[in-house]
Amino acid sequence: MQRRASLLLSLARAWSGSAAASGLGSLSALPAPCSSSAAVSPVLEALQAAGRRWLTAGPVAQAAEREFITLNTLADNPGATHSVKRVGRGIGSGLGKTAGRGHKGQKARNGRKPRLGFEGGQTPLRLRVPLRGFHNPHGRWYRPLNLDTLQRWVQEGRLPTDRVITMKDLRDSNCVGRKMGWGVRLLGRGAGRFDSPVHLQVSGVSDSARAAIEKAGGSVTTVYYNQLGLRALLKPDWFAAKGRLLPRPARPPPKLEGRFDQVGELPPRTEITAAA
Amino acid sequence: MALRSLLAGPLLKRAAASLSQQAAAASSSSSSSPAALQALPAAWAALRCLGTSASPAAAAAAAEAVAEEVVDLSDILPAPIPIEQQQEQGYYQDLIVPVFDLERRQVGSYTLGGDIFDVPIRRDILHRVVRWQLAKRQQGTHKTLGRSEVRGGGRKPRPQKGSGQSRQGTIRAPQWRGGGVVHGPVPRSHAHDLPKRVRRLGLQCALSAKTWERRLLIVEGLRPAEPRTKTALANVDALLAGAPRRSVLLCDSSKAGEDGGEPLRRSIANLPWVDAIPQQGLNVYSILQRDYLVLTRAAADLLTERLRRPIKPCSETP
Repeated sequence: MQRRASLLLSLARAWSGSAAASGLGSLSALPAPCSSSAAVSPVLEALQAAGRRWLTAGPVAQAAEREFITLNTLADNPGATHSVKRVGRGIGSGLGKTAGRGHKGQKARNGRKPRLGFEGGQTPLRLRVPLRGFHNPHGRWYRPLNLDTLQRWVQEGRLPTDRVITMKDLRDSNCVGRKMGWGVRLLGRGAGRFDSPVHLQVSGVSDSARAAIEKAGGSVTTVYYNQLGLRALLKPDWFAAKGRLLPRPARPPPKLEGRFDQVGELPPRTEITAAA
Repeated sequence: MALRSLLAGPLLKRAAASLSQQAAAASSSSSSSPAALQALPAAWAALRCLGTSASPAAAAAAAEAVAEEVVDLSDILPAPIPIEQQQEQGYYQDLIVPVFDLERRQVGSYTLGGDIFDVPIRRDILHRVVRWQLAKRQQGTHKTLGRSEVRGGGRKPRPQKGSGQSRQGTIRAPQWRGGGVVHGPVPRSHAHDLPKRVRRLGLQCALSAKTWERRLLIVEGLRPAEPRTKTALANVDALLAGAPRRSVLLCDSSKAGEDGGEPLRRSIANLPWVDAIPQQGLNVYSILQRDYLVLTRAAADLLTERLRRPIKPCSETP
């Protein structure tokens, strides 16, 4: 049976379109319905008991029990809609005379309200309270990535294992989010169960994470990229589109010297070397 | 990669459905779950073979490349089953149904795609689609006159002071008899939006409902021998033999199609409980309005093709 993969797409569509069916998907691995067509599977029974009316009832043999879908049996999910608040429609409604706006004043009238945080002219709270803390202009934030996430991505085949995984791979596979800071730092959550032999180039790694990866037969190299270099690593196409050359790799500032294994290359070399 | 992760859901579900059915058939005892569960990793392995070498860098390009290939899915998808064997609804199971002629003689068989004719029936989705349809077709020509629109009332009815009565400025104020209406209805459109994916899901649900109720018939063609009401009546009676009611929606490929077309529409024009609709116009409300739905083979083909087309051709998710 040869079919075009457009069918695949449509299947995926059918899946994504019916969110409520996702619960059913996991149930399908549970005991199969039954041998005789007269009995109902316990799973279905439980669902019906829970009032899941969208799941039609019972085996085909009991046609009389099947609920036909007709125009008069349709209903939205409970709680899916709100009833409209009808103000100014009499005493009995509870929202009659002042329509829920209280008595007189600026907030009872039509039009604009005083701005948020305005306290009628007195110094508002946000100005009364003194400033606290400070912003460190030299701070470097690294995107944390824990080993359990990395493990899952590798197991699902979303990261390459035949070459060195760079931060670009992590970003492109959505293993880390859009906010990268100064790079990715590997952390050790899930280190006990980590068993994927992977080779990585990241900005930082905790001791426990490095130990777990090397125990699993992989390796980690910490690389330094400055902000321009990181952008060139993550989005090399941007430079090509602008007709620019990729920037030359920058050495870390003296303050950070010795903290990285090597200076990040552009474009990075991703062959797995024998030493790694 | 993204494609595969998308696919994993329905395929696995279908595979699991078929496996559990096989397990149920094999072992008459109730302890069929271990077999099904053991078979699951096999299904996973089959799925894993699908995604070959798509790099995450070019997910869109990979999806395009995969779409160009012809994939053999026969070992992953469960084989279509005759509709009589459909035990439970909503498992995206391909179904084999008989194809009739206008005398209700079986002339062949047709496979209904499980992704369209066996999706879980969501009553809430059907409700939303029907509400959307009815709101959209509402004419919205309703109007009352406000105090400025009622004729007259320009003169002050009595002096401001000295009459011993209340102050009044116009005889068309809302508290007056014959006065204007406050916040009355004005002509407007009642239409509201509904996402295309919800609309499409609604159509799939309606088709799945008719299939599950066994009130969907596939016929070779609907064009009557001669365009007469008497012929159409005989045809419908034959098709719906044994049915408690005769309310039916007939769907052909197009208004000028060979499998229905103008002769069909002329012949059923005077039958109040029979409607004809081209495939392109098939909709949830019309389907649910009638007890039975009759699709011609060509209409079913076109419908399946239409419902499988991505809503956004460029998007990764269909």
